[in-house]
Amino acid sequence: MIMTATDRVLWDRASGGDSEAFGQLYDRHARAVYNFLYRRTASWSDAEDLTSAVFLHAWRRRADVVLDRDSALPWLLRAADYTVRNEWRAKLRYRRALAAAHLLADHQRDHADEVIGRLDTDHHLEQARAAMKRLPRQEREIVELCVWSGLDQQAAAVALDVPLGTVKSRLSRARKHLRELGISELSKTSVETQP
Amino acid sequence: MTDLTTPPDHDLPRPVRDRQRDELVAIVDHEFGAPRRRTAVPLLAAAATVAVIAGLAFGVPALKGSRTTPTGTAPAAGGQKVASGNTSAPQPARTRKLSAAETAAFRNQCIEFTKDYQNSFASFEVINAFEYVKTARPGLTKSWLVARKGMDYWICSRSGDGSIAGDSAFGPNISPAGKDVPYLFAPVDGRGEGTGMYIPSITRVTVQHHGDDPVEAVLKDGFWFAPMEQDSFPLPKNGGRPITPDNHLIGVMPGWTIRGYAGDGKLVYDSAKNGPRVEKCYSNPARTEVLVVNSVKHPTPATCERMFDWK
Repeated sequence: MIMTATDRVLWDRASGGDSEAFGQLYDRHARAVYNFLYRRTASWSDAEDLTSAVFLHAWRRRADVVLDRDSALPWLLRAADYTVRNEWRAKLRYRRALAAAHLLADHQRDHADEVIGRLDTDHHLEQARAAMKRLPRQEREIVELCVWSGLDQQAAAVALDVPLGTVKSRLSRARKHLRELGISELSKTSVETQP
Repeated sequence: MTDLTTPPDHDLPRPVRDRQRDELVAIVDHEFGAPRRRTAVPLLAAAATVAVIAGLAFGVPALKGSRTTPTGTAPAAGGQKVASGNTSAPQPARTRKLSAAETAAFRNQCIEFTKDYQNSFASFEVINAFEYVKTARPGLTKSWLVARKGMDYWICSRSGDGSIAGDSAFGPNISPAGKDVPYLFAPVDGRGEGTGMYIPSITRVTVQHHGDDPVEAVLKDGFWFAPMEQDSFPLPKNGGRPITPDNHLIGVMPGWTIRGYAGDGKLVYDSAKNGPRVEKCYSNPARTEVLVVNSVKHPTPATCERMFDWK
Protein backbone atom coordinates (compact mmCIF):
# COMPACT_ATOMS: atom_id res chain seq x y z
CA MET A 1 0.00 0.00 0.00
CA ILE A 2 1.38 3.39 -0.97
CA MET A 3 1.03 6.05 1.69
CA THR A 4 0.78 9.61 0.43
CA ALA A 5 1.87 12.21 2.95
CA THR A 6 -0.49 15.11 3.43
CA ASP A 7 0.70 18.65 2.92
CA ARG A 8 0.69 19.07 6.68
CA VAL A 9 3.06 16.16 7.16
CA LEU A 10 5.31 17.38 4.37
CA TRP A 11 5.24 20.94 5.69
CA ASP A 12 6.15 19.78 9.19
CA ARG A 13 9.01 17.74 7.79
CA ALA A 14 10.20 20.60 5.60
CA SER A 15 10.11 22.98 8.55
CA GLY A 16 12.35 20.53 10.34
CA GLY A 17 14.91 20.74 7.58
CA ASP A 18 13.79 17.88 5.37
CA SER A 19 14.50 19.43 2.00
CA GLU A 20 13.11 16.47 0.10
CA ALA A 21 9.75 17.01 1.79
CA PHE A 22 9.85 20.57 0.52
CA GLY A 23 10.68 19.22 -2.91
CA GLN A 24 7.56 17.07 -2.75
CA LEU A 25 5.47 20.10 -1.89
CA TYR A 26 6.95 21.78 -4.94
CA ASP A 27 6.09 18.75 -7.09
CA ARG A 28 2.56 18.84 -5.80
CA HIS A 29 1.74 22.51 -6.21
CA ALA A 30 4.17 24.07 -8.69
CA ARG A 31 1.75 23.62 -11.58
CA ALA A 32 -1.13 25.40 -9.83
CA VAL A 33 1.14 28.21 -8.66
CA TYR A 34 2.67 28.53 -12.13
CA ASN A 35 -0.72 28.84 -13.82
CA PHE A 36 -1.99 31.29 -11.19
CA LEU A 37 1.09 33.42 -11.86
CA TYR A 38 0.56 33.19 -15.59
CA ARG A 39 -2.97 34.47 -15.30
CA ARG A 40 -1.68 37.32 -13.15
CA THR A 41 1.29 38.29 -15.31
CA ALA A 42 0.09 37.21 -18.75
CA SER A 43 3.59 35.93 -19.34
CA TRP A 44 4.66 32.32 -19.18
CA SER A 45 8.29 33.29 -18.75
CA ASP A 46 7.55 35.64 -15.86
CA ALA A 47 5.40 32.93 -14.33
CA GLU A 48 8.33 30.52 -14.58
CA ASP A 49 10.69 32.91 -12.84
CA LEU A 50 8.24 33.77 -10.12
CA THR A 51 7.19 30.20 -9.34
CA SER A 52 10.48 29.45 -7.63
CA ALA A 53 10.31 32.80 -5.83
CA VAL A 54 6.91 31.88 -4.43
CA PHE A 55 8.27 28.66 -2.99
CA LEU A 56 11.26 30.47 -1.55
CA HIS A 57 8.87 32.91 0.10
CA ALA A 58 6.87 29.97 1.41
CA TRP A 59 9.95 28.35 2.86
CA ARG A 60 11.09 31.49 4.59
CA ARG A 61 7.62 32.12 5.98
CA ARG A 62 7.01 28.50 6.93
CA ALA A 63 6.32 29.43 10.53
CA ASP A 64 3.33 31.46 9.36
CA VAL A 65 1.75 28.91 7.08
CA VAL A 66 -1.99 28.37 7.33
CA LEU A 67 -3.16 25.09 5.86
CA ASP A 68 -6.69 24.70 4.63
CA ARG A 69 -7.94 21.17 5.34
CA ASP A 70 -4.36 19.96 5.04
CA SER A 71 -3.81 21.71 1.72
CA ALA A 72 -1.03 24.24 1.36
CA LEU A 73 -2.28 25.49 -2.00
CA PRO A 74 -4.44 28.40 -0.78
CA TRP A 75 -1.59 29.72 1.31
CA LEU A 76 0.83 29.27 -1.60
CA LEU A 77 -1.50 31.33 -3.78
CA ARG A 78 -1.48 34.02 -1.11
CA ALA A 79 2.31 33.92 -1.33
CA ALA A 80 2.02 34.10 -5.11
CA ASP A 81 -0.15 37.19 -4.87
CA TYR A 82 2.42 38.88 -2.67
CA THR A 83 5.25 37.78 -4.93
CA VAL A 84 3.64 39.27 -8.03
CA ARG A 85 3.11 42.54 -6.19
CA ASN A 86 6.78 42.63 -5.29
CA GLU A 87 8.07 41.05 -8.44
CA TRP A 88 11.54 42.48 -8.76
CA ARG A 89 12.29 42.07 -5.08
CA ALA A 90 11.18 38.46 -5.21
CA LYS A 91 13.45 37.71 -8.15
CA LEU A 92 16.35 39.43 -6.45
CA ARG A 93 15.80 37.50 -3.24
CA TYR A 94 15.75 34.23 -5.11
CA ARG A 95 18.92 35.18 -6.90
CA ARG A 96 20.61 35.93 -3.61
CA ALA A 97 19.45 32.68 -2.07
CA LEU A 98 20.97 30.83 -5.01
CA ALA A 99 24.21 32.72 -4.64
CA ALA A 100 24.33 32.00 -0.92
CA ALA A 101 23.80 28.32 -1.60
CA HIS A 102 26.56 28.47 -4.25
CA LEU A 103 24.07 27.50 -6.89
CA LEU A 104 24.34 30.16 -9.53
CA ALA A 105 23.44 27.88 -12.37
CA ASP A 106 24.65 28.30 -15.89
CA HIS A 107 21.33 27.73 -17.53
CA GLN A 108 19.70 29.47 -20.42
CA ARG A 109 16.03 29.42 -21.12
CA ASP A 110 15.44 27.46 -24.29
CA HIS A 111 11.81 26.68 -24.71
CA ALA A 112 11.22 28.31 -28.06
CA ASP A 113 8.79 25.67 -29.26
CA GLU A 114 6.69 25.92 -26.17
CA VAL A 115 6.69 29.69 -26.31
CA ILE A 116 5.49 29.68 -29.91
CA GLY A 117 2.77 27.23 -28.99
CA ARG A 118 1.55 29.50 -26.26
CA LEU A 119 1.26 32.73 -28.16
CA ASP A 120 -2.34 32.01 -28.93
CA THR A 121 -3.15 31.29 -25.30
CA ASP A 122 -1.45 34.54 -24.36
CA HIS A 123 -3.83 36.37 -26.67
CA HIS A 124 -6.83 34.60 -25.16
CA LEU A 125 -5.72 35.45 -21.66
CA GLU A 126 -5.27 39.09 -22.61
CA GLN A 127 -8.91 39.20 -23.61
CA ALA A 128 -10.01 37.63 -20.35
CA ARG A 129 -7.78 39.97 -18.35
CA ALA A 130 -9.17 42.97 -20.17
CA ALA A 131 -12.63 41.89 -19.13
CA MET A 132 -11.50 41.36 -15.55
CA LYS A 133 -10.07 44.85 -15.37
CA ARG A 134 -13.59 46.15 -15.37
CA LEU A 135 -14.12 44.66 -11.92
CA PRO A 136 -12.94 46.27 -8.68
CA ARG A 137 -9.68 44.79 -7.43
CA GLN A 138 -11.17 42.80 -4.55
CA GLU A 139 -13.70 41.23 -6.87
CA ARG A 140 -10.99 40.47 -9.42
CA GLU A 141 -9.02 38.62 -6.77
CA ILE A 142 -11.97 36.47 -5.81
CA VAL A 143 -12.71 35.60 -9.43
CA GLU A 144 -9.08 34.73 -10.02
CA LEU A 145 -9.11 32.30 -7.13
CA CYS A 146 -12.59 30.80 -7.32
CA VAL A 147 -13.19 30.85 -11.06
CA TRP A 148 -9.75 30.76 -12.62
CA SER A 149 -7.84 28.74 -10.05
CA GLY A 150 -10.76 26.60 -8.95
CA LEU A 151 -10.48 27.13 -5.21
CA ASP A 152 -13.61 26.72 -3.16
CA GLN A 153 -14.74 29.59 -0.97
CA GLN A 154 -13.11 28.32 2.20
CA ALA A 155 -9.77 27.91 0.45
CA ALA A 156 -10.12 31.36 -1.09
CA ALA A 157 -10.68 32.77 2.39
CA VAL A 158 -7.31 31.33 3.41
CA ALA A 159 -5.66 32.58 0.24
CA LEU A 160 -6.93 36.10 0.80
CA ASP A 161 -6.68 35.99 4.58
CA VAL A 162 -10.25 37.22 4.97
CA PRO A 163 -13.30 35.68 6.68
CA LEU A 164 -15.40 33.20 4.72
CA GLY A 165 -18.34 35.58 4.81
CA THR A 166 -16.27 38.20 3.04
CA VAL A 167 -15.43 35.77 0.29
CA LYS A 168 -19.08 34.91 -0.15
CA SER A 169 -20.15 38.53 -0.38
CA ARG A 170 -17.31 39.53 -2.72
CA LEU A 171 -18.00 36.60 -5.01
CA SER A 172 -21.67 37.42 -5.06
CA ARG A 173 -20.94 41.06 -5.93
CA ALA A 174 -18.42 40.00 -8.55
CA ARG A 175 -20.93 37.72 -10.25
CA LYS A 176 -23.53 40.46 -10.19
CA HIS A 177 -21.07 42.88 -11.76
CA LEU A 178 -20.05 40.35 -14.39
CA ARG A 179 -23.68 39.89 -15.38
CA GLU A 180 -24.22 43.63 -15.51
CA LEU A 181 -21.13 44.01 -17.70
CA GLY A 182 -22.27 41.24 -20.02
CA ILE A 183 -19.29 39.07 -19.18
CA SER A 184 -19.73 35.32 -19.08
CA GLU A 185 -18.10 33.41 -16.26
CA LEU A 186 -17.23 30.38 -18.38
CA SER A 187 -13.88 29.11 -17.32
CA LYS A 188 -11.69 26.17 -16.60
CA THR A 189 -12.10 24.53 -13.21
CA SER A 190 -9.55 21.78 -13.29
CA VAL A 191 -7.02 23.03 -10.78
CA GLU A 192 -6.25 20.88 -7.79
CA THR A 193 -7.62 22.03 -4.45
CA GLN A 194 -6.48 19.20 -2.22
CA PRO A 195 -3.20 17.36 -1.88
CA MET B 1 -20.20 38.18 -25.49
CA THR B 2 -16.93 38.50 -23.58
CA ASP B 3 -16.11 35.63 -21.30
CA LEU B 4 -13.54 34.92 -18.62
CA THR B 5 -12.46 31.59 -19.99
CA THR B 6 -8.72 31.29 -19.63
CA PRO B 7 -6.35 29.05 -21.53
CA PRO B 8 -5.90 25.53 -20.19
CA ASP B 9 -3.30 25.00 -17.52
CA HIS B 10 0.21 24.11 -18.58
CA ASP B 11 2.94 22.28 -16.78
CA LEU B 12 6.19 24.04 -16.14
CA PRO B 13 8.67 23.04 -18.83
CA ARG B 14 10.42 19.93 -17.58
CA PRO B 15 13.94 21.44 -17.51
CA VAL B 16 12.65 24.46 -15.59
CA ARG B 17 10.77 22.30 -13.11
CA ASP B 18 13.74 20.04 -12.50
CA ARG B 19 16.09 22.98 -12.10
CA GLN B 20 13.83 24.89 -9.75
CA ARG B 21 13.23 21.80 -7.63
CA ASP B 22 16.95 21.15 -7.31
CA GLU B 23 17.59 24.80 -6.49
CA LEU B 24 14.89 24.95 -3.85
CA VAL B 25 16.05 21.75 -2.21
CA ALA B 26 19.59 23.12 -2.10
CA ILE B 27 18.40 26.44 -0.68
CA VAL B 28 16.45 24.67 2.05
CA ASP B 29 19.51 22.62 2.89
CA HIS B 30 21.70 25.69 2.90
CA GLU B 31 19.42 27.93 4.92
CA PHE B 32 18.66 25.24 7.43
CA GLY B 33 22.37 24.89 7.95
CA ALA B 34 22.65 21.22 7.14
CA PRO B 35 24.08 20.13 3.83
CA ARG B 36 21.86 17.72 1.96
CA ARG B 37 19.79 16.73 4.95
CA ARG B 38 17.41 14.05 3.84
CA THR B 39 15.71 12.94 6.99
CA ALA B 40 13.48 14.72 9.41
CA VAL B 41 15.14 16.11 12.49
CA PRO B 42 13.69 15.54 15.94
CA LEU B 43 10.56 17.55 16.50
CA LEU B 44 12.01 19.57 19.35
CA ALA B 45 14.89 20.77 17.22
CA ALA B 46 12.52 21.57 14.40
CA ALA B 47 10.30 23.64 16.65
CA ALA B 48 13.29 25.57 17.94
CA THR B 49 14.38 26.35 14.41
CA VAL B 50 10.94 27.50 13.40
CA ALA B 51 10.97 29.87 16.35
CA VAL B 52 14.24 31.29 15.11
CA ILE B 53 12.99 31.61 11.56
CA ALA B 54 9.89 33.38 12.76
CA GLY B 55 12.03 36.37 13.56
CA LEU B 56 13.10 36.77 9.96
CA ALA B 57 10.49 38.47 7.87
CA PHE B 58 10.12 37.98 4.18
CA GLY B 59 11.71 40.79 2.26
CA VAL B 60 13.88 42.07 5.04
CA PRO B 61 16.94 39.91 5.18
CA ALA B 62 19.24 39.69 8.14
CA LEU B 63 22.81 40.81 8.18
CA LYS B 64 25.72 38.52 8.05
CA GLY B 65 28.51 38.73 10.56
CA SER B 66 28.39 38.85 14.30
CA ARG B 67 28.42 42.50 15.16
CA THR B 68 27.33 43.46 18.58
CA THR B 69 25.56 46.61 19.52
CA PRO B 70 28.14 48.87 21.07
CA THR B 71 27.91 50.87 24.23
CA GLY B 72 26.23 54.17 23.70
CA THR B 73 23.39 53.01 21.53
CA ALA B 74 19.81 53.69 22.32
CA PRO B 75 16.74 51.74 21.35
CA ALA B 76 14.59 53.36 18.75
CA ALA B 77 11.12 52.74 17.48
CA GLY B 78 10.66 49.40 15.86
CA GLY B 79 13.02 47.62 18.21
CA GLN B 80 16.14 48.60 16.34
CA LYS B 81 19.14 50.05 18.03
CA VAL B 82 20.76 53.02 16.43
CA ALA B 83 23.86 54.84 17.42
CA SER B 84 23.08 58.04 19.27
CA GLY B 85 24.76 61.38 19.09
CA ASN B 86 26.43 61.03 15.73
CA THR B 87 23.69 61.40 13.20
CA SER B 88 24.51 64.77 11.72
CA ALA B 89 28.20 64.91 10.91
CA PRO B 90 29.10 62.14 8.49
CA GLN B 91 32.15 62.33 6.33
CA PRO B 92 31.42 63.67 2.84
CA ALA B 93 31.09 60.99 0.21
CA ARG B 94 34.34 60.60 -1.69
CA THR B 95 33.67 58.91 -4.98
CA ARG B 96 35.27 58.64 -8.36
CA LYS B 97 33.82 58.05 -11.76
CA LEU B 98 34.93 54.80 -13.34
CA SER B 99 36.94 54.98 -16.53
CA ALA B 100 35.51 53.74 -19.79
CA ALA B 101 37.50 50.54 -19.53
CA GLU B 102 36.49 49.99 -15.91
CA THR B 103 32.87 50.65 -16.80
CA ALA B 104 32.96 48.17 -19.66
CA ALA B 105 34.47 45.50 -17.44
CA PHE B 106 31.95 46.21 -14.69
CA ARG B 107 29.10 46.04 -17.17
CA ASN B 108 30.32 42.70 -18.50
CA GLN B 109 30.53 41.40 -14.96
CA CYS B 110 26.93 42.48 -14.36
CA ILE B 111 25.72 40.99 -17.63
CA GLU B 112 27.38 37.73 -16.67
CA PHE B 113 25.73 37.88 -13.25
CA THR B 114 22.30 38.22 -14.82
CA LYS B 115 22.74 35.96 -17.80
CA ASP B 116 20.02 33.54 -16.70
CA TYR B 117 17.45 36.24 -16.06
CA GLN B 118 14.43 36.47 -18.27
CA ASN B 119 15.23 40.07 -19.12
CA SER B 120 18.55 40.71 -20.80
CA PHE B 121 20.18 44.00 -19.92
CA ALA B 122 22.67 43.92 -22.77
CA SER B 123 20.72 46.60 -24.62
CA PHE B 124 20.58 48.95 -21.65
CA GLU B 125 22.70 52.07 -21.90
CA VAL B 126 25.03 52.80 -19.01
CA ILE B 127 24.31 56.27 -17.66
CA ASN B 128 26.50 56.22 -14.59
CA ALA B 129 29.30 54.11 -13.12
CA PHE B 130 31.24 55.13 -10.05
CA GLU B 131 32.66 53.88 -6.79
CA TYR B 132 33.41 55.06 -3.30
CA VAL B 133 37.10 55.69 -2.85
CA LYS B 134 37.09 53.99 0.52
CA THR B 135 34.64 51.90 2.47
CA ALA B 136 34.77 50.67 6.03
CA ARG B 137 34.81 46.98 5.12
CA PRO B 138 35.46 44.99 1.91
CA GLY B 139 32.06 43.33 2.19
CA LEU B 140 30.24 46.60 1.73
CA THR B 141 28.97 47.62 -1.67
CA LYS B 142 31.48 49.96 -3.22
CA SER B 143 30.69 50.38 -6.92
CA TRP B 144 27.49 50.95 -8.84
CA LEU B 145 26.52 50.81 -12.46
CA VAL B 146 23.26 52.45 -13.52
CA ALA B 147 21.83 51.62 -16.91
CA ARG B 148 18.64 52.65 -18.59
CA LYS B 149 16.47 51.69 -21.49
CA GLY B 150 13.51 53.99 -21.95
CA MET B 151 11.82 54.20 -18.58
CA ASP B 152 13.35 50.94 -17.37
CA TYR B 153 16.30 51.07 -15.02
CA TRP B 154 18.87 48.49 -14.09
CA ILE B 155 21.27 49.03 -11.21
CA CYS B 156 24.11 46.63 -10.53
CA SER B 157 26.36 46.89 -7.50
CA ARG B 158 29.73 45.43 -6.61
CA SER B 159 31.32 44.82 -3.23
CA GLY B 160 34.75 46.01 -2.24
CA ASP B 161 36.09 42.50 -2.79
CA GLY B 162 35.20 42.78 -6.48
CA SER B 163 32.23 40.42 -6.47
CA ILE B 164 28.80 41.46 -7.69
CA ALA B 165 26.69 42.28 -4.66
CA GLY B 166 23.40 42.26 -6.50
CA ASP B 167 21.28 43.98 -9.04
CA SER B 168 17.82 45.39 -9.26
CA ALA B 169 15.71 46.36 -12.21
CA PHE B 170 12.38 48.01 -12.48
CA GLY B 171 10.26 49.88 -14.92
CA PRO B 172 7.10 49.54 -16.95
CA ASN B 173 8.54 46.90 -19.25
CA ILE B 174 10.18 44.89 -16.50
CA SER B 175 7.57 44.84 -13.78
CA PRO B 176 4.26 45.57 -15.50
CA ALA B 177 2.36 43.73 -12.79
CA GLY B 178 4.00 45.55 -9.89
CA LYS B 179 1.83 48.60 -9.50
CA ASP B 180 3.85 49.82 -6.53
CA VAL B 181 6.97 50.07 -8.69
CA PRO B 182 6.59 53.75 -9.62
CA TYR B 183 5.98 54.73 -6.01
CA LEU B 184 8.14 54.81 -2.92
CA PHE B 185 7.28 53.30 0.45
CA ALA B 186 9.11 56.10 2.23
CA PRO B 187 10.71 59.46 1.40
CA VAL B 188 13.94 57.50 1.10
CA ASP B 189 13.23 54.05 -0.26
CA GLY B 190 15.67 51.14 -0.19
CA ARG B 191 15.86 49.09 -3.37
CA GLY B 192 18.82 46.83 -3.61
CA GLU B 193 22.38 46.71 -2.41
CA GLY B 194 23.03 50.15 -0.97
CA THR B 195 20.73 51.68 -3.51
CA GLY B 196 17.36 53.31 -3.48
CA MET B 197 15.26 56.23 -4.55
CA TYR B 198 14.11 59.39 -2.87
CA ILE B 199 11.42 62.00 -3.25
CA PRO B 200 12.29 65.41 -4.77
CA SER B 201 12.29 67.31 -1.46
CA ILE B 202 15.11 65.18 -0.08
CA THR B 203 18.53 66.74 -0.58
CA ARG B 204 20.69 64.54 1.60
CA VAL B 205 20.67 60.87 2.60
CA THR B 206 22.79 59.04 5.13
CA VAL B 207 23.03 55.37 6.02
CA GLN B 208 24.32 54.05 9.29
CA HIS B 209 25.09 50.60 10.58
CA HIS B 210 24.86 50.29 14.31
CA GLY B 211 28.28 50.79 15.75
CA ASP B 212 29.52 52.70 12.72
CA ASP B 213 29.48 56.37 11.88
CA PRO B 214 26.80 57.49 9.44
CA VAL B 215 27.92 57.55 5.83
CA GLU B 216 26.87 60.15 3.33
CA ALA B 217 25.06 58.73 0.31
CA VAL B 218 25.57 59.92 -3.23
CA LEU B 219 22.39 61.37 -4.70
CA LYS B 220 21.92 61.38 -8.44
CA ASP B 221 18.86 61.50 -10.69
CA GLY B 222 16.49 60.39 -7.97
CA PHE B 223 18.69 57.52 -6.83
CA TRP B 224 20.86 57.28 -3.74
CA PHE B 225 23.90 55.08 -3.36
CA ALA B 226 25.83 54.20 -0.21
CA PRO B 227 28.09 51.39 0.98
CA MET B 228 25.93 48.80 2.66
CA GLU B 229 26.32 45.17 3.40
CA GLN B 230 25.21 42.38 1.15
CA ASP B 231 22.41 40.68 2.93
CA SER B 232 22.01 37.04 3.78
CA PHE B 233 20.09 34.96 6.24
CA PRO B 234 22.64 33.82 8.78
CA LEU B 235 21.33 31.58 11.48
CA PRO B 236 23.53 30.71 14.44
CA LYS B 237 24.95 27.28 13.82
CA ASN B 238 24.00 26.04 17.25
CA GLY B 239 20.53 27.50 17.46
CA GLY B 240 19.50 30.57 19.34
CA ARG B 241 18.24 33.86 18.07
CA PRO B 242 19.26 35.46 14.78
CA ILE B 243 22.34 37.62 15.02
CA THR B 244 20.49 40.73 13.94
CA PRO B 245 16.81 40.89 14.84
CA ASP B 246 14.40 41.46 12.04
CA ASN B 247 13.28 45.07 11.87
CA HIS B 248 10.08 44.37 9.92
CA LEU B 249 10.90 47.23 7.58
CA ILE B 250 10.52 47.28 3.81
CA GLY B 251 13.76 47.94 2.01
CA VAL B 252 15.85 48.58 5.13
CA MET B 253 18.27 45.85 6.07
CA PRO B 254 18.23 44.92 9.77
CA GLY B 255 20.87 46.79 11.71
CA TRP B 256 20.85 49.71 9.29
CA THR B 257 19.25 53.11 9.58
CA ILE B 258 18.49 55.31 6.58
CA ARG B 259 17.87 58.99 7.07
CA GLY B 260 16.70 61.71 4.72
CA TYR B 261 17.14 65.46 5.10
CA ALA B 262 15.35 68.35 3.45
CA GLY B 263 17.05 71.34 1.87
CA ASP B 264 17.09 73.27 5.14
CA GLY B 265 19.02 70.46 6.78
CA LYS B 266 16.04 69.25 8.74
CA LEU B 267 15.79 65.51 9.34
CA VAL B 268 12.54 64.48 7.68
CA TYR B 269 12.90 60.72 7.54
CA ASP B 270 14.48 58.23 9.91
CA SER B 271 13.85 54.58 9.06
CA ALA B 272 14.25 53.58 12.70
CA LYS B 273 11.39 55.84 13.68
CA ASN B 274 9.00 55.91 10.75
CA GLY B 275 10.29 53.34 8.29
CA PRO B 276 7.78 51.46 6.14
CA ARG B 277 6.66 48.37 7.97
CA VAL B 278 5.84 45.00 6.47
CA GLU B 279 2.68 44.71 8.56
CA LYS B 280 1.04 47.72 6.93
CA CYS B 281 -0.85 48.14 3.71
CA TYR B 282 -0.03 50.85 1.17
CA SER B 283 -2.13 52.91 -1.21
CA ASN B 284 -1.10 54.95 -4.21
CA PRO B 285 -0.24 58.63 -3.55
CA ALA B 286 -3.70 59.73 -4.63
CA ARG B 287 -5.27 57.35 -2.13
CA THR B 288 -7.54 55.86 -4.73
CA GLU B 289 -6.25 52.30 -4.70
CA VAL B 290 -4.62 49.87 -2.32
CA LEU B 291 -1.45 48.62 -3.99
CA VAL B 292 0.22 46.54 -1.28
CA VAL B 293 -1.95 44.59 1.12
CA ASN B 294 0.60 42.68 3.20
CA SER B 295 -1.27 41.05 6.09
CA VAL B 296 -3.88 43.75 6.59
CA LYS B 297 -7.29 42.13 6.65
CA HIS B 298 -9.50 44.94 5.43
CA PRO B 299 -7.30 47.42 3.60
CA THR B 300 -8.80 50.57 2.16
CA PRO B 301 -7.02 53.47 0.47
CA ALA B 302 -8.02 55.72 3.33
CA THR B 303 -6.64 53.52 6.09
CA CYS B 304 -3.47 52.33 4.36
CA GLU B 305 -0.20 54.19 4.35
CA ARG B 306 0.14 56.54 1.42
CA MET B 307 3.05 55.84 -0.90
CA PHE B 308 5.19 58.62 -2.33
CA ASP B 309 5.73 59.88 -5.85
CA TRP B 310 9.29 59.42 -6.97
CA LYS B 311 10.12 62.27 -9.32
